Amino acid sequence: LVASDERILRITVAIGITLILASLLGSGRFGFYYSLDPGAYTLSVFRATGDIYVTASSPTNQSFSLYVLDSDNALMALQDSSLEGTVQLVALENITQYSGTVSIPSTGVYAVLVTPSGNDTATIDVNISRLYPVPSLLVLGSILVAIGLTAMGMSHLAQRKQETKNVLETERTSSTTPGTESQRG
Amino acid sequence: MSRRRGLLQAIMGIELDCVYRSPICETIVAVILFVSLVIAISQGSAGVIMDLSSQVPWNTIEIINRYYGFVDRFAPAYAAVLLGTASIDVLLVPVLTGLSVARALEDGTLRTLLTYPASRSSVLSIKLGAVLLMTGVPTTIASLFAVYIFVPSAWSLIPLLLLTFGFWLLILLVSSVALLCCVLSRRFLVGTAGGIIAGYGIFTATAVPEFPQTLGYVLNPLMAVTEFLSGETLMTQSLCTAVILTVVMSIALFILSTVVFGRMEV
Repeated sequence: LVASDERILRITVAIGITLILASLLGSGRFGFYYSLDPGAYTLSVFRATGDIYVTASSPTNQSFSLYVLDSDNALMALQDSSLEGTVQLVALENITQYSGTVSIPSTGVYAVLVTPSGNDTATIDVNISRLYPVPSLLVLGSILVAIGLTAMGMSHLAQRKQETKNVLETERTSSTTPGTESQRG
Repeated sequence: MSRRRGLLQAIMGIELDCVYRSPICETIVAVILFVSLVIAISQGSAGVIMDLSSQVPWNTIEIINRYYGFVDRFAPAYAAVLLGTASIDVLLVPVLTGLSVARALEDGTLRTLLTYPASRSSVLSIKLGAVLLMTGVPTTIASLFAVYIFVPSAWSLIPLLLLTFGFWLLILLVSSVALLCCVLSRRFLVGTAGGIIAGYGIFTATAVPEFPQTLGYVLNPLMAVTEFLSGETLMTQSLCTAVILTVVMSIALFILSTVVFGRMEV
């Protein structure tokens, strides 16, 4: 490999390691704690790059409903002032607590909508957290590291083979040269 | 023409091999990418909560505007990532300029470089260009990538181009100041320290609310573009004036550096 190619491979490995490290960064928690009157809703809009983990509970043990919508359906719900006609990724009704992973089909904006199910004011605590590691970054980082290390390894191997070949060639040449023979003798 | 290009390429090659040798270049790329990703993660983690009453329709202008304000956040997030990463660049640019110019003056590499049949201003231009490329390209690409991954939104080209232009102008100004400090002092430590103080001073002072706004826009064009895109205070004419003044100031500083460097005994 030329020196510039070797540098490009090193930069590739550095980028790959950085992406792997960044995929493990622990942030991205988002939530709310609200007291809602019967019939009132709280819409929480957030961004998701992969599957999310949702925990929802009512500290006062009152029942509530929880819906997860994508951005188009969240906008439709806002424009129609209703959930009718929307497609929900998750629809849980009359629950007092929930925790689970919500599968996100593609990166983008999503919304969680909660409302009390009964006729009393309900206090609801919702937390949304991103799952780690971030798959896209981890996969991309691993691929870059693998490509960089493999190419560098192959280059070093080829270089070593060439060096060994050169040494053998030199030895063979020197052993068949008459002058060298006599010197040895 | 092609001979001149070959000559400049040769000088650039020497510059890359001597100043940006391994692992300097790799570290710069990794640090900038990591910082961009961290800021983009914090931008993408924000959410918006809306109270939807049973008495009032949900499709009020305020609620729909808040929704769209949250969804269309690519440009604001890109601006935030660029501003965050620029705080590292204003430290990095003087250090690289110091290594490229003042350190080369100290260890005699510049003397070797000047044996090439190229003018001193060309050599200085290549050195400045290398500093800009080494900091500007990784920052621009890493910021766009980080925002694309962690702040998925609809995007439009004009705000992105304006922000990128503002960022490049900022690092051009900081590198011109650092270059002047280096050629005046001829010492790595003094030149770099002067560049850092000037660069970081520009960056932090313009963020202070008491700082004169017009001067702030000239010294930090990235902030001017960000304010312009937010559509609150800055008009198109004021932005153009600020940008032109920044360019003029950077060119004047560079010309002054070449004059000082031209008269210098190396």
